[in-house]
Amino acid sequence: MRRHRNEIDLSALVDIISNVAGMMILLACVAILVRQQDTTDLVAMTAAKPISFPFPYIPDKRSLTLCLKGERLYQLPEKEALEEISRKTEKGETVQWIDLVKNGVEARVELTPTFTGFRFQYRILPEGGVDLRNKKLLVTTLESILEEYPAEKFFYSFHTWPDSFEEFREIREFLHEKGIEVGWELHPDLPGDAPQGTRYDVIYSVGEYDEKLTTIKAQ
Amino acid sequence: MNRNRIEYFVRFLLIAASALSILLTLAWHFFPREITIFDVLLSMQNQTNEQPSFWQRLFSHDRFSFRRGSRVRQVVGVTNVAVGRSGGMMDVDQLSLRETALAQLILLDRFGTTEREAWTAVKNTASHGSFRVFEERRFQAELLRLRYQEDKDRAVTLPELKKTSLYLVGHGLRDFEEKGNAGIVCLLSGDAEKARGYLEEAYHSWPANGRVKGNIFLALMITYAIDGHNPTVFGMLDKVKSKFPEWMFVETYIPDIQDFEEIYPSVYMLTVIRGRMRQLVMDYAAARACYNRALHEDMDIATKLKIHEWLNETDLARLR
Repeated sequence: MRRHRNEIDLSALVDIISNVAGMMILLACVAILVRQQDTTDLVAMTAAKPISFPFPYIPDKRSLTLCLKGERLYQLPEKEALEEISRKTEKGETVQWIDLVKNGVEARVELTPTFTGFRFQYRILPEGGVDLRNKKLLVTTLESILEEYPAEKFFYSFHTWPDSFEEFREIREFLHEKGIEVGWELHPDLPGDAPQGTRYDVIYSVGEYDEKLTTIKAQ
Repeated sequence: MNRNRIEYFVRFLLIAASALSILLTLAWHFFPREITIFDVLLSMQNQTNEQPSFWQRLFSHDRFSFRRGSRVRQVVGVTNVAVGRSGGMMDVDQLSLRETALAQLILLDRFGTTEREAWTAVKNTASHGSFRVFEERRFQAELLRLRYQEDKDRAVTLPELKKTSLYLVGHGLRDFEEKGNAGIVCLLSGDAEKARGYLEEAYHSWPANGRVKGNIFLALMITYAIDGHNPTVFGMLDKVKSKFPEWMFVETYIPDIQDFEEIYPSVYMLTVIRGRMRQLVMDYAAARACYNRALHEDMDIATKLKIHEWLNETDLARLR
C-alpha cells in the first residue's frame, strides 16, 4: 500500500499550478486589452467619460454656433449673411431679410422687430457639411475653425441631433483639450422638428429682445 | 500508465491554452479598430500618415483633461444691453444706416473686421439726413462699449463713453436702449442719482422681460442701495428671482457688484445685495461673510434686523 502511494509524482502538481497561474495572468491581460478596444454601443455608453461640468454657465466670450446632424458637421454662414446685408445697406437699401444657401445650410437673416439686431435662422440640408466619419478632414476642419475662432474670445455652442451625438462627445473632448468651452443643445429627432414651430433647425439672435429667448450657455 | 496519460493530457491542454492566450494578446495589436479623431491628431502630431502606435492607442483614452476657461466676468448691462432702438417709426434711410452699423458691429465683434473697416462701411452708407450724426454717435458708443468690455484703457474709455451716451440720451431719437446704456454708464462713473432716473425710464419702457431687462433691474436696485433707500432694496431683493432671470449665474454678475463696491466704498448695502444673491444660490458661507462685513453700528434698526434675519436663515440652512 505504502509503495503504491509513493508512485504519485508531485512535480506534475507543481507544473499544473504554475500553468494555471500563468493562464490566469494571461487571461487577465487579454480581458483588460479586449475591454479597452470594445466598441459596442453599450460599452461605449458605459465607458464614456462623464461630463465634467454638467451645470450650464454663461461665459463672457462670444458664442460660435455649430451643428452636427446626419453625421455631418455644419458651419453656419453668419459672416456671409452679415456681409451680404452690409453690401446691400451700404447702397442705401433697407433689408428686411436675406436668404442664402452655403455649405449645405439654408440661412435667413432678418432684422429684429425692434430694429436693434438680427435674427439668424438656419435649416440644415442633407448635402454639405463635413462627413464626421472622415476623421482626417474633421480634424483639419476643426483646427481651421479653432484658428479663426480662438479659445480666448469664443466658446462653441453645438446643436446636436441624436445620429451625431457620439461623435459630438469626441469633438467636445477634442475641443476641451484645446481649451475651448463647449455648450450643447440636443434636438429631438422627430420628423419636421424645428424650434418655435418654424421650418428652421436653429434660431438665435443678436440684439433681439424677446422673453422666450435665453442666453447661450456653456456646460 | 493511465495516470501518466491524464497528466500529459492536462499539461498539453494548459500549455496549448497559454500559447493561444499569448497569440491572442499579440494579435490584438492588429485587430481592426475604429479610428478616432484623436488617432488622426496623434498621427498628425507625429508628422506621419501612419497609424498611431500600440502605446499611443493604448494610452490615448486618458490624455484629455478639461481646463476651465478664463474667469467668467462681465460688466452688468454694459455687456448685455445690446445695440438698437425701439420699434417705433424709423426713416427708411436711417434704417439702412442702422443696419449697416449693426452688421458691422457683429462682424467686428465676432469675425475680425477692424474698427477702420467698420467705420468706412458706416461712413460710406448712402443714406443722409438729420439722423446721421445720431446714428454715427450711436455706432461710436457701441465701439466704446466693446473697448470697455475688453478692459482697454477704461480710465479713458469711460469718460468718452459717458459723454457719447449722454449726447444720445438727450437726442430726440433716443429710445429704451439709450436710456439703459446712459444709466449704466452714469452708475459706473459714480453718478448714481442721474443713473437712477435713466434706469427707471429704461426699465419701464423696455419692450420685453428677460435677461437684459433683468440686468436693468439689478442696476436699478444698486442705485437705490447707493441712495440709501434700503426698504426699496429689500423689496426688490424679495422679487429678484422673478425680475432677474439670471440670478443663479452668480459668476456673471457678482464681480460687477464688487466693482460697484469699489466705486462706492461706503455703501454697505451693496455687500448686503451680494450676500443675498449668494444666499439664493445656497452659498451660505459666502453669504454670511458678506452680511458680517456689511453690519455696522450706524445702521438703521430695520436694516440690522433684516440682516440678522438672513444670518439666522443661513445658520439654519447650514445645520440642515
